[in-house]
Amino acid sequence: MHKFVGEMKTDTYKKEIINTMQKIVKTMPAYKELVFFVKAVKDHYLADFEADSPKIVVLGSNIPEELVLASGIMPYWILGGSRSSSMWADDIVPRDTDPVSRSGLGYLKSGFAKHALILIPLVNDSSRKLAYILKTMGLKVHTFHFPPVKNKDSMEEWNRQYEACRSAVSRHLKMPLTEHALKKFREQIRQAKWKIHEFVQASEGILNGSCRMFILGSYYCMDNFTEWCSQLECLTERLQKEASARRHKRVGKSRVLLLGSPVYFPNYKIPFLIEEAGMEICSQADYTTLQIQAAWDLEGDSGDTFYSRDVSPAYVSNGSLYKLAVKMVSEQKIEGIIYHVLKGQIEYDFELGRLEETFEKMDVPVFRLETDYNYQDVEQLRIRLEAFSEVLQQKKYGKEALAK
Amino acid sequence: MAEQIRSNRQRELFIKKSTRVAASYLNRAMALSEMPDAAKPFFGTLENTFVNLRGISSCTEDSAEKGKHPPGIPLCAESSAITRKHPPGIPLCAESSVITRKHPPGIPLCAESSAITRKTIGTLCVMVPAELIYAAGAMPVHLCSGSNTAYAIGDDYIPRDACPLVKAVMGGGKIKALPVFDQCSLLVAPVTCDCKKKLSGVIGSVKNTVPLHIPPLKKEDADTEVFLRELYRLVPILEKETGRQITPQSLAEGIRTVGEAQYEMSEFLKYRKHAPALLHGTQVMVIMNAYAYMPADMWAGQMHKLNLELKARLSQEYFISRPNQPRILVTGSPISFPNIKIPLLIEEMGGILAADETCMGERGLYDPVSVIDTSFDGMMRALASRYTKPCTCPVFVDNSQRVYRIKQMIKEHRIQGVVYHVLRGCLVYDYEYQIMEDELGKLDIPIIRVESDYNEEDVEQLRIRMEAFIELIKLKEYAKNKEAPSGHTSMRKSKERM
Repeated sequence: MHKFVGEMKTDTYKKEIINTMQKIVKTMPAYKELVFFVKAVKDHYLADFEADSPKIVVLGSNIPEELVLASGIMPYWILGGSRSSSMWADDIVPRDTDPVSRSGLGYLKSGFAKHALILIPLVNDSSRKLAYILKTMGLKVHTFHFPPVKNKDSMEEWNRQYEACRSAVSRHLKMPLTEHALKKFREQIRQAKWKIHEFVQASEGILNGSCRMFILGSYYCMDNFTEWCSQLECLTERLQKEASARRHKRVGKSRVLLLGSPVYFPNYKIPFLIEEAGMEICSQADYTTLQIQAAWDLEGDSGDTFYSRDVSPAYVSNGSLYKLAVKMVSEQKIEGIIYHVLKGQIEYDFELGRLEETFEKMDVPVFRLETDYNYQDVEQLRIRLEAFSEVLQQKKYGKEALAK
Repeated sequence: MAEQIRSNRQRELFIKKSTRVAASYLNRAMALSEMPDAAKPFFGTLENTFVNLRGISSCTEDSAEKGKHPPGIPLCAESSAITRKHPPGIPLCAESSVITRKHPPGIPLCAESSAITRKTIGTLCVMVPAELIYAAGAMPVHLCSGSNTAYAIGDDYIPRDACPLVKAVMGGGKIKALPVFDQCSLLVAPVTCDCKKKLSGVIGSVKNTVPLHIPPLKKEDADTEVFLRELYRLVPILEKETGRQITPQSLAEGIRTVGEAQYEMSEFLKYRKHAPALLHGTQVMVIMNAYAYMPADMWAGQMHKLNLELKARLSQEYFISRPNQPRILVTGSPISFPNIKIPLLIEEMGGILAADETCMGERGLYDPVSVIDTSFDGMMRALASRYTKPCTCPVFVDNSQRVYRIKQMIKEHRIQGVVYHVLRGCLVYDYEYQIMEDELGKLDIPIIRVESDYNEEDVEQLRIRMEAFIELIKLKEYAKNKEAPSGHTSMRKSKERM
């Protein structure tokens, strides 16, 4: 425990968090409503686990939130965006492991979750093997399997997994998770996601892409669900007021959609580079962001809607993501796609082909960008992104000239 | 037009290169000393498939036309005459405990082979129950390819970092020059690792594919139930494909057919364990790979002959290795023909490949289906259980069984060193290396991790590493033997003191 706290407080880790936060804060408008979110993220990543160790840890964003929130106990979500924590796991995972899994394991390996129940969604090879590694470390792990072919049988299997997870949480916390409580929380989550949807719409043109990403990411850093929702509501109101005050916000930047591997705090290398190259991130279509914001249109209150609408690459064919991405491109007037692939996340590369074909027909250029959490490739990526930005600008001018 | 010319040219190049590579590997494996005569038909099967580029039934048709027995396929007349005792653990189809091998349903007799065509169903993993496919009157063909040329073609369709096996499967499907692939009317693709999961999504564009969900956990009965449901889902698909109903009788027959192959395999393993060795491990890998392209009963018949030959070798003390030759076990990613460079390198460098823990090797046929309840559901449950519970594939969350199995093999096969084969991009095996290293370290068994793909460019580097590893084992054994007498003396002295 002491070792972990020591590691958490190492200069590299702290520096990584603080640097990214400072960079984001610099681009944020000076609204007092934003302070809450900055603080929430800071407290989450620089938490003092010695004083307050978590009871439930959730790895990734694939576990239905109500399963933990309904107990009234806030889980500690580990999404895995830290370069420093990914280095902590270097000696226990193979070289080709993706940085997200490395980072998640890095957090957990030092034993800060010694007394916690760790919920791991089994969505890829790494998550399966991570679960085993953590079990052999003596940690309490519960796995939640996502059947890779969506059909009637797999829905049944997913429901079985849901129930198993519910009893595991209930057993661990020694409190029942009633159907009523789950239903109530599903409804609250649905309402929260409506608010998130409203926020995303209101933020357009006022907050930049990385800032919006940061606010959305704070969903997994919250201490108090109700408070987070009400603060988001306040922020949305403020943004709506600002929006009505200044109508023309666009400065002719190329509108891009960020697809592929999710971008997790503090590894904001890609969004920063995109913005520095003069492009505007209109939306992200990764499964975590879509999980946060797209579930607002969930109808009904059964748990399996989470599964049926999941757009993670955990499935044989990810038709849901394909449809959503196409819809987003046509509705949001997207001019270019940046397809982000984290080294080792091979499933995203498999999905690229189909998307590329479709977007080619829609005359939207796709730019594949492969990276990890290291900073050595920043300058190469910058040049490539600048070139892509120029392509988009040229294309735009060409279209305008044709229209004239 | 240009596209057509390009694809024809690619096809020509593929045929030229792939057949040359396959022939060269077969020759190298055959050139290893003292190959049993009964092993030749297995080589013949792979030669037909990869060098002569013949399909499964065309081999038989050809032989019927010429009136000659084709290399690699045992004569049906011969195989039907084999009489032996009923192997333990396999349900009896006849009342008597002695079974006369009958021609299995759905498999064309040599004489009528040109008239009967039997469907072949492609499988992409050993976790697809072959018994079900035989029960549907079709023949399973295991399409996990080791072709370097197909891998190069698959590279255009599959992401760069995907494993070579997946690329080779896709390449084999796209090139339309491998009759065994083209013949398959359906592919059954188990969703095991990430690459195979995504492959089963993209290969649908080449061939009608059914993804088969494999649960990542296997301890609980509920997990086996998941796989059981998948098998029940597969039944009507196979029936529709073959036009033949899977009945309790045909399923029992399917289990018996595969069971015979497993029985012969278990007999064969007794000879394989012998030190000094009775045959080369590389040749064993070829024999095991031939199972993928031969009807199970024919393979079993030929194995029976091989076992008889090995028995004779044993009684005559006719060994192919020296007593002090390092005995090596290979484990890890699949070794699919023609990519047998690792076994070949081990044996060319003076080691003996005494055992393998790979899915294309022993693992695929090791555990028999244990039927307790002979109803249809009972047999289906037995299949679901056999294909998940004892499986040591690292796609399962808890795979401690694999460590246990390897330790067991080390003891039984008197292994002195382990080669851990990792195909580039095969992450699941890579994850388990560290555990294996720790566990084998406790046993003082040296282990070497060898990462490779289907290219031949790294052969010389691998050769040097393999040579060094074998030298290390030899030196270790030498030091052990040298120390042993002094050890005994010190023990004696300490006893005297006591």
